[in-house]
Amino acid sequence: MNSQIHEAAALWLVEFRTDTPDGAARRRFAAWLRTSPEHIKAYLNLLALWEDAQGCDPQRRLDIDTLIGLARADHTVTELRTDEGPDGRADTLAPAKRYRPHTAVAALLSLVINCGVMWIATDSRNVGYTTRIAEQRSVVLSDGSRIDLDALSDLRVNFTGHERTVELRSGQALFRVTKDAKRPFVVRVDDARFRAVGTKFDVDRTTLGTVLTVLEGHVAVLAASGTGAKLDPGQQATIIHGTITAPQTVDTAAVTGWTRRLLTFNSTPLAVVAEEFNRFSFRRVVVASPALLDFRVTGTFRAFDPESLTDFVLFLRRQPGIAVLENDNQITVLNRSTH
Amino acid sequence: MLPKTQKNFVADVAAKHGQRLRRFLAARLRNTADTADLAQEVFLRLLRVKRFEQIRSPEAYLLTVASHVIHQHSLSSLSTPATLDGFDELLDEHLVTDSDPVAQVHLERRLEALDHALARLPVRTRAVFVLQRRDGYTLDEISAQLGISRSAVRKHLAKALAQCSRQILEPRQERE
Repeated sequence: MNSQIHEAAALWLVEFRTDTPDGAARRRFAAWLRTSPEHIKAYLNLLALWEDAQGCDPQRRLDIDTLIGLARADHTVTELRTDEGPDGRADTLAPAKRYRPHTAVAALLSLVINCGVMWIATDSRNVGYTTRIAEQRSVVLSDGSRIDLDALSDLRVNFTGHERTVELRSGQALFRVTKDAKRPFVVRVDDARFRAVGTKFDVDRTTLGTVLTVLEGHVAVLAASGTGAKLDPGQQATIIHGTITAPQTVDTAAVTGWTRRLLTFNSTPLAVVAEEFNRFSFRRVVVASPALLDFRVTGTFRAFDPESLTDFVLFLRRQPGIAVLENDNQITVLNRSTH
Repeated sequence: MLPKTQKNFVADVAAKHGQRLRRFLAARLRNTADTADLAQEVFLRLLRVKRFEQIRSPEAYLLTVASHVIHQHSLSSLSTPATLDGFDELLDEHLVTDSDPVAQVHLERRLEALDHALARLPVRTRAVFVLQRRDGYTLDEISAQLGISRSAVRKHLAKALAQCSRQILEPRQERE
């Protein structure tokens, strides 16, 4: 029963959105509407879905060519069964059966309507930016938004007519987003999305999760687990395996220290500290003992100064229970008791 | 019967206004768990219209009435001074809040659910729907690209819409 109403409503909706039904059809639609509040409810719900669907698959997992290719190759469904529409009550419920596409008037009028209703073709632009070790760069996007990219980072930009999507594949970036209410700005990582309008925020992908810090404006987070949060200026949250931690107030100057070539740690896990150093050093810091990954480090280091790394190694050597092995390529941090 | 140019003009205006109305309605319905009350109220108002079957554009009428009901409801719940001719401003206001991060999270959830539902459609039905909605292909373009008739394109669109909405709105009753 319910599904029958949905199907009838869907047929009517497609009819009105893609064509101009003639007088007789409009009268049948009016009668159908006045049959039951359920019909109105179904129609309004479908309308909302139809409108929202303009934003479906925004990251284009399936691009146009793929879609067309798949559909052409699909011989499993050659013709839709006509009983998709509720045949039993064809008078009021099956508009598509009455409108043959070869009705000249309908075809003519559809041009007029389509112009008003259709979504504008996309002008997608795909650009990638990567930075190597000890390389930072700033990019200005076509919309005027600015991105500071930390060393050893990888970023993809995909702008379409209705969304500005940036995928941070690795590393860290500071975003200054230009306002455009019609084209939301979205930063994606594997397990979450951050949406901002006219906002400044920092995203840092670490092995322990993705850290979002809001400097100005607001950012909405939607994580893969389905949880969401809205962060205010000065707040920070971490997304770990698709789940958002409770937002905390942090020192944002420390978080964006890297843009001033400073690495500022405040009770930061060694796993993350090592990663930050590795963005600037060709000698990799490797934490070999799992127990040490959560060892907390506090301090400020100059990112581009080789002395910083030496200072950091000295600092580690002074810690009880920690041993450090150095060679030309690697600095290995170990638990002393295992050594 | 209006002369043809005038008719086109009317169609243009209606299309533009209609687009605003539809976006407004979509944004409001998205944030409303249950539209039963709204549908009931709209239904009663349509019943009161004399000779409703003679109305030139029943769909536009439906959407306008639904917007007015939502408008009046939000006025009474917000206890804002009622400026009846401020309806357009109200529409604009709501379109602006469309870009509010929280509203966007609602939208993203719906889109995620929609993407899941789309993935379960037959390949061709899904292709037709995504090409039309996301990429703005016309019926004729889809018909030419996929080598199927216009009426088949319409049926695919309707089928996609009905199946997706069933899955999103009432996932438990999927197999009744």
